Amino acid sequence: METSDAILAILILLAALLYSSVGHAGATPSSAIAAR
Amino acid sequence: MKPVALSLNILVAAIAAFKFYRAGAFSWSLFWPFALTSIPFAFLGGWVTLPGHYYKPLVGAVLIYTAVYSFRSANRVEAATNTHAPVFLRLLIGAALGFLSGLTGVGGGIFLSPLLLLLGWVPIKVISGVAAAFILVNSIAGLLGVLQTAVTLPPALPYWALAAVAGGFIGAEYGSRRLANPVLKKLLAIVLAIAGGKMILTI
Repeated sequence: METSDAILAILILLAALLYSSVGHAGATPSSAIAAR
Repeated sequence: MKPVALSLNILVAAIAAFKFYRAGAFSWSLFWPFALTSIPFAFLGGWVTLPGHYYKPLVGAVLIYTAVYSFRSANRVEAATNTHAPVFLRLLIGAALGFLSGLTGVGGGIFLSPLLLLLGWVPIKVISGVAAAFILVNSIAGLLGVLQTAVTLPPALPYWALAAVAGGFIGAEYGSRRLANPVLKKLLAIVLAIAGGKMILTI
């Protein structure tokens, strides 16, 4: 796995954590991917 | 990356929806009219391409306004809620939000959460549960549409899926059961502000 992929994995984890806490799509994994 | 985003959204939204449902933070009667019309209209919206400089400033402004509203009302005692909003109105909102989510390419919950928050029909935890299920059904519908075309998946997808599932479980556990409502509202306000700012700054 490349560094950029690993960074994206961390972003996805944080986004998923925030998203499932508040149930808001602004922090879904797709947002992390869009912000890549 | 669209199929990847939708797949990860499905994973996380499924976890969140299940967790919120088990915690009693869900309303079927509120959810089904939204879902019924949003799914076909999400497909329809996907057919239309709108330039970003038209919709991004508008959506960004709405999100930031809702963020300010959410943050300022975080410590306010919740007023009596009305879960018997007209079905026709919810069908209409579902259709509009489904179309908008298909049009903009984001999960429908990004519009449903602020709207429910402003309308104040149900407590914020129920908003979270309904939005999770809303994102789930719209993402499944979107992915089914994408799968009709030729799709290639990146090799790092399993790692991203693992990260999404881990984050989803931790967030849903603390969000649906242990975080107090004012904390949830402030977290949501931050998320909304980030999403709104990003919308405006990436015109």
